[in-house]
Amino acid sequence: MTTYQKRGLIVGVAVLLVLVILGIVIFGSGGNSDPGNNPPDDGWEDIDITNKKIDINFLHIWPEHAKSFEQIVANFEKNNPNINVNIQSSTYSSIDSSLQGAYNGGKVPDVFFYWTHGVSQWVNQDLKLAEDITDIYYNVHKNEFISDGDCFISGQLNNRYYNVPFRATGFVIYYNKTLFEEYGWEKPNTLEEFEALLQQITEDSDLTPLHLWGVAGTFLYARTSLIAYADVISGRASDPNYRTGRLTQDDAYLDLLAEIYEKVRDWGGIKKYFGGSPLGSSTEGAEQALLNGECAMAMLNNNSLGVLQAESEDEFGVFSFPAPAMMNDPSAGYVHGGYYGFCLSALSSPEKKAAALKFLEYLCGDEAMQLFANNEGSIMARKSVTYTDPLQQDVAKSMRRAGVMGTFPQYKGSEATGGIGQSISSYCSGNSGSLERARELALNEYNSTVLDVTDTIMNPEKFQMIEPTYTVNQEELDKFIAWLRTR
Amino acid sequence: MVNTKLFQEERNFWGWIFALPAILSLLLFVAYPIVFSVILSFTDQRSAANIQLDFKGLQNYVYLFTNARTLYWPSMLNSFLFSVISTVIQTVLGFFLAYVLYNMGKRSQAIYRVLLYIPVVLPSAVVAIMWKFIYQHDNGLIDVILTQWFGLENLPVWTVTPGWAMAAVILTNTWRFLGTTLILYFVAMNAVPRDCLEGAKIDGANKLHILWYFILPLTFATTKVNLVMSFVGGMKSFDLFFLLTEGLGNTNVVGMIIFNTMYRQQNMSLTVTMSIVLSLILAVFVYFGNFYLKKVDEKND
Amino acid sequence: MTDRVNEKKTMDSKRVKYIIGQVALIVFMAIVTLCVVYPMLFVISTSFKTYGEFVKDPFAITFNHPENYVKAWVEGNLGRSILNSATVAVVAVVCQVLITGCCIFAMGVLRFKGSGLIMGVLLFTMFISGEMTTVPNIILIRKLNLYDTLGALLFPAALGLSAIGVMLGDGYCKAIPEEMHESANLDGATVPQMFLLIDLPLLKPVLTYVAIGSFGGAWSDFFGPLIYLPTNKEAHTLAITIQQFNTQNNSEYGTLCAALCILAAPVVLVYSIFSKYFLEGVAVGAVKG
Repeated sequence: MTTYQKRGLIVGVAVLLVLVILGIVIFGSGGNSDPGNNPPDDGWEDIDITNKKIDINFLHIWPEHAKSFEQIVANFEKNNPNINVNIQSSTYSSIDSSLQGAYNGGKVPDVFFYWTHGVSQWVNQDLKLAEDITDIYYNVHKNEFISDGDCFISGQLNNRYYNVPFRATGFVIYYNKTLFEEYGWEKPNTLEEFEALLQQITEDSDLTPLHLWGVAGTFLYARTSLIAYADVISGRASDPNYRTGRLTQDDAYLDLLAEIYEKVRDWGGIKKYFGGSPLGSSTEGAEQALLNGECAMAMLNNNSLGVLQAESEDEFGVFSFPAPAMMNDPSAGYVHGGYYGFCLSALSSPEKKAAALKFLEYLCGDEAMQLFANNEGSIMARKSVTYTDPLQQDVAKSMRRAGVMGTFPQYKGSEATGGIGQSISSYCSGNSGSLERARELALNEYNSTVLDVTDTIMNPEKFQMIEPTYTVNQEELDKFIAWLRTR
Repeated sequence: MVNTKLFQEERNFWGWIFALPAILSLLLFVAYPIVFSVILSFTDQRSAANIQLDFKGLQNYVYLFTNARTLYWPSMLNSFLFSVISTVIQTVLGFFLAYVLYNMGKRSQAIYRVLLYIPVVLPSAVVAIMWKFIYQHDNGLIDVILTQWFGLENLPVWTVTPGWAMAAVILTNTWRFLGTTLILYFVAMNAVPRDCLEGAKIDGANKLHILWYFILPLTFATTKVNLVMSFVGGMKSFDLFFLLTEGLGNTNVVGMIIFNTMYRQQNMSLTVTMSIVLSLILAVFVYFGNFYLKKVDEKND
Repeated sequence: MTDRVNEKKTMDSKRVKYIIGQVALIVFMAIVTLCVVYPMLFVISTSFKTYGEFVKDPFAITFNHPENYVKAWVEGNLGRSILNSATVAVVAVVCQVLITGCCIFAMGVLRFKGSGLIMGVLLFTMFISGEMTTVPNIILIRKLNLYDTLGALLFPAALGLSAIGVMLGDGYCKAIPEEMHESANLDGATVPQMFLLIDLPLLKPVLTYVAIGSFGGAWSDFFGPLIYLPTNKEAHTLAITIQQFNTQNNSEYGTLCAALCILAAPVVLVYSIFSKYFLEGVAVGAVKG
């Protein structure tokens, strides 16, 4: 063998050995870092951790409220010196990929943020990220929350709960009180009064009556509000399976949807109550329009309160999208939204879980929530929280039905269905159309939804469509349809 | 004289040593992912967390080809449209500008070369945010110019309206990558031997003749490379769409669909299947593109 | 007599045409460049205004508020991000230049047996879409326990190979005469010595191209942090910090533009300084290869 062949052999063997050793080291110990491979044992909540030093991770999505969280964590660590809470933050738009990424990497934070009404996607068959807190939190504390725990409902899955509501988030209508007084307009209490107000504003002034925005933003909620009301009036909302969003839709229901879309198109596309191009606007655009006095009302997230109060001298008022007069208590209208909440990670070690539970109890307790409300102008989920600012009180009152009305589907929708939804928004903002066309769109969306629900590749949980069992309250519903037809 | 066999062996030995880090890199970041992806595409794997290889055969491929609700094929069409229009505009404009630059003085050349290439080196985040800002409704640069100087009203929302959204992304993409085609062509034109052109000029050819009969064919090699690379890059393009339009306004491209499948549908094996099918399609295009362009090249000679 | 006058006239008209032609070219080029450069200038000028000033007059050129830059730096916590970005970029440049340089040497000069195979694989990487490699890479990084740390970005950067660089370099090597190596061999040089003393200096243009490409890639990459750094804000690089900064602060145009300028400045500077080498690298490699 020549020298080079010898040398080559030696080098080759050495490299191979190194690779093999590396391979074993890396992939061999991999079993432990694979998440989901170690289902923790039961009874962890009784572990005594008072003498152990534990680090837990806490994820939230509000860098703008970082200081309040730091305060809360500091208070907690003072009372629990053995637990060290490490704060991480993500953002509104990347929380999904953050959690997904954390799950992929085996580093799910021990206490993490998620919307109460959206938590089901983290608790399905394959992915169990959030711990079941029914026994350890819900049953213990539910009466301390608004409406005796109704706010938990949107996060319910098979009668189990996985998320503790923290802060309300919903879309309410802010209006410029100063302008209203100037023009002599009055705050509407019912849906009919609201419609009259919209008409009056267009007649009395050049202002946009109600500024909505975005293809998937508040412009969508104008439709979903009316649909939610129709469902309550007809009795559909009382069907035990209503919340799953998988009830079958018969011809009569599709006709109803068509009437609703036509009504929204009448308001938005023909009478231009929502401004010139609602689809292109954004939250900031809506806030600016309201602050600049370009519109009389704007539908914004309730947490825009801070911006409005900071940047303007005008007085603002608030109300939720009003309910039809025929509904009981029309003053508490539909609020599209729910709650921001926190979950416990199901994948942490027992000790970390116990520590995380302690932190969760403090984080979602009276003291922390009051601190947050005072600093950030948010509406919190507990009964005990008091608000000093009158506008804040109004917001709290108007959000009573947040996360209570409407459906909270758990199945995943396809891109195609999303596209149809967008085209319905476009349709409702245009000024050409007909009842037949609206019906067609509603049917398309329904058919696509049915295909999505039964698609086992997208939804391996094998969902089915459910036949409704409620009896239609035809008389009341007819009254509502008659109102829809006045356009 | 050197013992050539020994020398060759020595070269082989050292060659392997020097190429070792590169080979390692290729193994880790090219070979392993591809092999693993192919394996994954035959399983039903939802997340990247628990790798259980339960093989389901061709399930994912069948789903991809028969189920239209993933919008995979319409998005492929969108990508294709985007790619072709972008490539054509960039190539034509790039060539034209390179020719203009070619005919200018040295100093101007130096200045323009740098200026026109800067958009290429800008980070995609900067480009996207900059243009999002420009396209913004009512407040953005374009809307302000059109309403204040030209008095137009009721402008469509650029990043949301179907049709306009794609045009907006194409404009941004062209703005960004014009520099690459420009530089490539400029360099190629400079490489055309001067004596050849001098001879032609003496023979009485005017500028147009020179352009058509000399410069165009002699830079064809660059055209070939550029067309193929632009097209492939355009098909894979994703970050501009992600940051600028987020798939609204009928700008769903393949990259967005793949990304959504990974993060919203949370279906890893389907994601990988989509990527593999895309890569295969691109490979076919590149192969046939090269083949066809080679023929044109030979004709030119 | 008239002949000469005619000749002079045609000479004159030719010169006039030439001058007009040149002027037209310059004007045209200037307009095009203006169109290309204007958006960037617009961003720079906006970065010195507050939102109110911008709404009142978007086109004014004032420099009233340089404190936007400070604001952007502090609010977005850009200092740490820049440090992270710089670390990744430096590692990327150094390692990738080394690895690519060695690879070019092995393939272009030494022409060892595996050259064809490697070239084939590199061509193959051209049409692989990024998403295909995401899931296996996530698993790899997780097994190495680098997930959610800066290491998740450093590791691929350190082992990266620039495919275009190798292809350009291959073309470049054809220009290096074989006799140099043979004479060096006769003088008793070993192969590593040959590499260091002969080829590395000659390959400078291509390596500069690779360096600039690596720097730009590492500095601008936001997709990597998006996937590998889901919760660890401390390790975020500049590109993704600014992208998230944008979603939180959509209407603060002044600070936003200031942040964009901070992000773009290093890359633009580096390119402007090294553009000559950059073009040389492209020139020899692309045309010959």
